[in-house]
Amino acid sequence: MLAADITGRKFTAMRAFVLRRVLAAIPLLLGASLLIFLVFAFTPGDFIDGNINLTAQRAAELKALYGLDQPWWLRYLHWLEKLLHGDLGFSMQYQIPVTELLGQYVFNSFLLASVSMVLYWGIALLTGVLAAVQPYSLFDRLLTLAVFAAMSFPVFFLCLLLIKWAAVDLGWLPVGGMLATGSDTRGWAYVHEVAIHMVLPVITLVMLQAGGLTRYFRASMFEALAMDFVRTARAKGLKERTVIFKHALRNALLPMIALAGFELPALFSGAIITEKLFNWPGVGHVHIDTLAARDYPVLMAFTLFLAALTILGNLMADIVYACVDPRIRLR
Amino acid sequence: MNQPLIEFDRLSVEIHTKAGIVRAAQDVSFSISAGQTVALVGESGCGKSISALSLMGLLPSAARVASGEIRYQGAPLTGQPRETLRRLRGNDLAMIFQEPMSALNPVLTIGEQIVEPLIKHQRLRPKAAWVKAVALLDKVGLARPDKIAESYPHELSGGMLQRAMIAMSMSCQPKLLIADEPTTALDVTISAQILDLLQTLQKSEQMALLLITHDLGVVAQMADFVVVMYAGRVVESGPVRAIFKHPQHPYTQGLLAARPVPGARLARLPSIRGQVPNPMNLPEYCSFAERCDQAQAQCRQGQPEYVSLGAMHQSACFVVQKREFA
Amino acid sequence: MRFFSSKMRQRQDIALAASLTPMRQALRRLRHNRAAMSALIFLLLLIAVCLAGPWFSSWQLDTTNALQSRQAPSMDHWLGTDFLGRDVLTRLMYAGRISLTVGLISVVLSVALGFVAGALSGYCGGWIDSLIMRVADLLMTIPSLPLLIALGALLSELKIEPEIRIYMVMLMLSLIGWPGLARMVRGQILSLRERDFMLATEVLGLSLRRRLFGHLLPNTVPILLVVATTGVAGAILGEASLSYLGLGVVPPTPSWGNMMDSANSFIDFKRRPWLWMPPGMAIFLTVIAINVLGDGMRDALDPKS
Repeated sequence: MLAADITGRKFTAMRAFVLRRVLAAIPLLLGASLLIFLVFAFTPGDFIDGNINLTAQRAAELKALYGLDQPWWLRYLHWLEKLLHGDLGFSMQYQIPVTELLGQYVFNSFLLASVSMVLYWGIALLTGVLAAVQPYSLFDRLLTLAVFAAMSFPVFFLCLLLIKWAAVDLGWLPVGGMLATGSDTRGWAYVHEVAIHMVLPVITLVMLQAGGLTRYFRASMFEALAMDFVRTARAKGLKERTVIFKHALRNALLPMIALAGFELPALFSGAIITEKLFNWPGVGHVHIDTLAARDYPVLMAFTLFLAALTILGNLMADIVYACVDPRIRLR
Repeated sequence: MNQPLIEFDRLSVEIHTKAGIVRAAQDVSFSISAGQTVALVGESGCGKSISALSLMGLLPSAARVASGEIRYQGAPLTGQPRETLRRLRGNDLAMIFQEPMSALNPVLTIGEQIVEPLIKHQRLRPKAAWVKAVALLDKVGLARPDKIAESYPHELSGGMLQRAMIAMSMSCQPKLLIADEPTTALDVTISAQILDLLQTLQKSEQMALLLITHDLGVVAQMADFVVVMYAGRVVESGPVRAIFKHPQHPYTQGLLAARPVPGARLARLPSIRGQVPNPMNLPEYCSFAERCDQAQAQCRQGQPEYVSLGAMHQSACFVVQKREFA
Repeated sequence: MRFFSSKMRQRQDIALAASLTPMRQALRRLRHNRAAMSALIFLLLLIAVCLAGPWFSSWQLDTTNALQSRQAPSMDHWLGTDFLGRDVLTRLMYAGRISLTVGLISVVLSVALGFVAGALSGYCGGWIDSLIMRVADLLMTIPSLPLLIALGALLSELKIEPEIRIYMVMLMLSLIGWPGLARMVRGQILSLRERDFMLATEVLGLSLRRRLFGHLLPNTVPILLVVATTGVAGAILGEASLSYLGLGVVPPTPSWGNMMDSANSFIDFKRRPWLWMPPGMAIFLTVIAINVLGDGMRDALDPKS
């Protein structure tokens, strides 16, 4: 029952645990792909129907070319087979492979998402802990109010207000995009230009996401601070800082790990409207644009990408949690 | 007589809740001499733990000392800056709790938790502190202490954890150890071992022990001096022999009578009728009067004063007063 | 005589306990929460205005007036007129009816679905549990906005009548909402089942149905109420986003989301904020009020936190 045996046994158990989780993720991924495929397969009208410039004959030819004339299950299997070979299909609107298309834009989305994520995790952690340490104080009350306000904005309304106020009326920041039109800056000037363009979308994403996370941190920290071991730590004469950050926060952070798994995919999908409104050249923006053109391969690929990211995130969270929490039983 | 280690001097603690003010402790007075074991006895909610926590400076944020003070080696503790109290905690004054399972941090190893006060108060280097921690675990009777130091709380049993808690509290050789119902959560056999350990350590380390309990058997075995509390007040206090042989206050008498005695075969164990009064709404007179079989008209007219009943033995009761001065 | 008096005492005790059931205590705590009460009053007022307001308006929902298009707010048109000369305030109130109804009904639907699925899953266990939970997992795997967008596109392509489309939007939103609720109800049931009072019902030999409906499920209702309340906020936001993108409630049926479509024209966006600010503010204020109310309810139910 003691530590040394446990580390050895834990390692073997860990390997089995990871393997089991990975195996459990596969049917989920397959199910998600089928569901996504069905939604799009049963949507009448596609890129070819939507294009009125095509003759009936040409349209039929194109449909045969893209395999749109086959029964749905055959198309699904075909699509799946191509997916397994890393082929996400061909974008009819952009006339390039979907992998290439997403590859071009995914970095921009990732940039926006990761910067926002670092910022709002930092903000949520700090404010959540401060509020939990002094519950029902003025700071806590103001924070609660701010959090509710931030959580209650419809994304697009927040984007519009920010654009109207900071970009249009005051002219402080660019209205949208990632670079000024026709800009060919290089080096630091390029970084600076991108950073300036990022300010408003990042503010939007931080505001939307930080609210809920702050609540979680506050609740989690509040709970941890009420635990008996915090009293023990104080009874040992430790500094309040040590009590809060070493003893309470460590415990409060554990449940947050599970949340972190959801964050990146949620941020990607949450950024769809933000990217669109700020004209940020990311995958979310592409998603909305291809929607108008009913470019299904792109829509399906992006939705599947998000589903895969969600499954992966959960898997990672489970594994990290099992590594970090000494109590977890590896079932 | 030389100066006591700890003196409670008419300490009153109030807890502010939304529904009103709870007078959790009122006019609590008693003292603890160096090396002495004092038992604080009473039902749950009678103010035992609150008194102990105010001694440690660990009152919950809603509670505050309303009047009176606690002195440590003659110097007041209450009203001192937090920093002063913090330096005493874990160093001169240590405390162990009821639930060893929840009183230890689940994500830190036992060793990591024991070295903290050593590094903090005794300025030991981490390595030296670890060696000392293992030695302490050995001292409290844990086998394979080096392995125990590396394990997490959930890997050990309740009895082992309470031993580890004791090791942690003993780390800086405190002058006083407060044990808040240290065996309530444990099995009977384990609990006996823990009490033995406490007694042995108390003797060998020359430290005072404030034992909070509602178990009179434990009191008889461990204590030199007994303080009986009821509804926030000390109703009787005295040397253990006097309390057990000649209990004066009707509440103490009731408590002792309600104790099962091995061999005695009564049809029914006597009990104290009625219920503890609502702490939010304590009467202005003796709060035991409503449950007291000996209550008289006077008992509902004010708070009784303490009556001295011989060496260190005193009680707050009108009935006792009348009897003594009759 | 003694017997009777003790019996009477017992009755009184029971009566006292009944008058202070956890639910009543929670309600009392809620009544003392000023923020939550203000939010509730605001919401009731809002509903009243949306329901009764149009009667007092001198304008009709669809009266167009080309001569009075895009007018700034005035005494005649408190919030101005849109590109067809329709009164914005009147439309805002009608849109409120739609948006609030969509939010409410879709949550009622998802709560019903989630409750039944979660209760079945938690109480039956076995393959029923696995099946329901796998379906829920699957639906939770696909982020909600892309899924809603896909379903919205499906509706558009199926060329569904705007009146029927509202119901489809409600269904879509409840489809997104139920898995989370089902999981929660299941979790509650699994933890409640282990509690002593459920063991007691088993010892008493109560029938499964009695134990389920009489003792277990009622205990999940309070937390379900809280989640449902905040769920309404989520549904209103979801409907707004979808309608703003033209995939939810579509014109001529007004909704707060699709009224904001005017912000897509840069001139309107820049020069005529009365066209898009009021619906945006309406959504914002409604959602914030619902969230505050939900938070107050949560506090009232769980006084510890």
